[in-house]
Amino acid sequence: METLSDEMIMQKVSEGNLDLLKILFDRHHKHVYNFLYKMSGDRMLAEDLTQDVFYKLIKYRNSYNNGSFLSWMFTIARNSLKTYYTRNHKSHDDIEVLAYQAVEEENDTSENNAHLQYALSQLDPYDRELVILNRYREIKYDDLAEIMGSTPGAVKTRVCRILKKLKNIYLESI
Amino acid sequence: MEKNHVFDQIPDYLDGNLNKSAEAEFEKHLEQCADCQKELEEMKTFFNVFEEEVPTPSDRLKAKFESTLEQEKINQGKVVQLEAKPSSNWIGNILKIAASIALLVAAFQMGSLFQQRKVNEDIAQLQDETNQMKQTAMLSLMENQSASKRIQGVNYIEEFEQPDEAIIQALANRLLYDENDNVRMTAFEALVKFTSSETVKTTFINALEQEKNPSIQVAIIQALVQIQEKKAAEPMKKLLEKEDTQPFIKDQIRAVLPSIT
Amino acid sequence: MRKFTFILMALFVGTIARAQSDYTKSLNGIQWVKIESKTDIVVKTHSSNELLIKSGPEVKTPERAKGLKLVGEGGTDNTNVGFSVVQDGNTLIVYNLRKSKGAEIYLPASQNIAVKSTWNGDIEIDGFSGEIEADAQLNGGVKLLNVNGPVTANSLNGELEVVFGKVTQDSPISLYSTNGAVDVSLPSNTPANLALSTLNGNVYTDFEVKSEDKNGLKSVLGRNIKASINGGGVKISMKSTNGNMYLRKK
Repeated sequence: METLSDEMIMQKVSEGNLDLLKILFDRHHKHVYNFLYKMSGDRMLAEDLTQDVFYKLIKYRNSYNNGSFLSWMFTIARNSLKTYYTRNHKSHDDIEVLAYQAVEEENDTSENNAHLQYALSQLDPYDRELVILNRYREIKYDDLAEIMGSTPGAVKTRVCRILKKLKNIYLESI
Repeated sequence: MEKNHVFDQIPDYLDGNLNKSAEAEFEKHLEQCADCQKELEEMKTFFNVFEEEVPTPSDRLKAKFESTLEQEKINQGKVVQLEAKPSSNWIGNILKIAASIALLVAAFQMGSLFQQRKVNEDIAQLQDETNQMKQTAMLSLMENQSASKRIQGVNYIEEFEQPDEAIIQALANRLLYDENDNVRMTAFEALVKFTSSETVKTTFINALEQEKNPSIQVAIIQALVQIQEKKAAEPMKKLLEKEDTQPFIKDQIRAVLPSIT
Repeated sequence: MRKFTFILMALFVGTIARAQSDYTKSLNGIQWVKIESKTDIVVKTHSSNELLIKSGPEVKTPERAKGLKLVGEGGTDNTNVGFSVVQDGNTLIVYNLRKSKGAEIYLPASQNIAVKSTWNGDIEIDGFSGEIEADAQLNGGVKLLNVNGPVTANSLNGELEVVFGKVTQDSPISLYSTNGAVDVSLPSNTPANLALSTLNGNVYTDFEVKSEDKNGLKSVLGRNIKASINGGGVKISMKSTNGNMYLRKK
């Protein structure tokens, strides 16, 4: 079952075999959730938006164009996040200025996590997205470039720089 | 040397994205550079934190997703029903819709075990379908008049992890009988991954006896020596005796012959 | 005045020579043109849908052969230019019966062609967008210029030189030589999956396949290299058993 690519499954979903979407959900919902959580620092919001992403996959299954599934899914995830912030912060209308919810005081939040979320909050939103997506290994530089509307070479150089910066912020904060 | 820090390559190194030679170069530099060692250690620690801190969403998410999906399936069913029979009487239609909805709801209530099994069956069927599609495409491409198309057919082998006998035999026929050298070479490269198959071994030995292209000859010789195929000695000796065998092939044979006889 | 007469004469003689040596045949219903030759063969494009063979003005039949026809391995000269042209289904088979002197053949650019040189002849093919198969079986080299379509080329001792125009099809490209060099120029933005391999030669390229040096063409270590460029695309496979390999950006 593992050998069947996301793209092939999504193709079948768009042809009307909706049940197969469960496979894609099982494969990817954690990563989408993780991305949204690290971007927003808000668990509830991340869960709602993940729900929204998969709802959109169902709704817009016919517009899937056989390109990279990961790129498509994360593009939808980014848009959901963007839409959310546009709606809730009417004065700003771009993801570049989205507010970052500071570390929450949740009981189950480990100390490492708190430091990591703090370090992430110190980055520009664009850089934060880039680095979070990059740490999800299945996303190659080509996909990443497609999602972020850049070139693989530029993305790669930038990721290297941000990782170094982020690591230093993180280590200083401990 | 100290000046050429390899900071930029650290992430790719940790992710295993460097190629062999770049990796060796990287490690060589690392041995003598304390700065880079420190940087590498820090980055490794940091990566670990990043990987560990993956929060898990609650079960609510999955439940919600599944109910949304079922809802969509019901909508899908409805649309199809209504469009399919526009002219039949409306009571019948409504009954049919009601029945189909009832069926869907019942199916949904039969629980997730059934659902999962259904999905697995679908997947298995889909996989089977695609494999057969690929196999048909592959076999028909290999009979094409154009050499490039035949090569494309041969290359399809990459799609199969466990090609069945029909595919192996079709590839063997390409290696033995195709008039185009490039097609034969590509067929050889496809078959060389399956040298444990008896068909492939026999094919290689037969091919060695009749092949005229030295590049293919030498490739076959290397493959047969690698699997220590004793039966390859005879055709090799024959090649040694032939006048038109290229000198470098003869050298190669002389070098490897002792190892398999 | 003398000069003028001379030019007129030259033109006149030229016309006669041309008229004698040209052979044309319509290509209606023909999918493939297969050409076989022992000597140099040059294939170029022209705009009409017919086969045109020019043997050059110098070809003369010996005095004794007057009224006789040239016969060779591939058949009988049925063209008066030293070629045998036979149709077999949707394939047109063109044999060059002469053992010396090259020939120029003109075909429409979209024609699928297969050219085979069986002795010392070099194959040169310029400007085609259809499918090309070129096979130099002994000492000849293969030179393919401005080609856009799928190419399958093979040489034994000669060099294989290919200059690609825009490559957009998905049918694979395969270039193999046993003892000759393989020299390929490719537009730098071509999306492709490359497979380069050599047994005893070296690979030189300025494409971004993984390698050490920074400047110019560089030697790539390792004998089997696989790389995708510009996001991957058509499969291009190159191999030379004993020769070097050069892959250049165009």
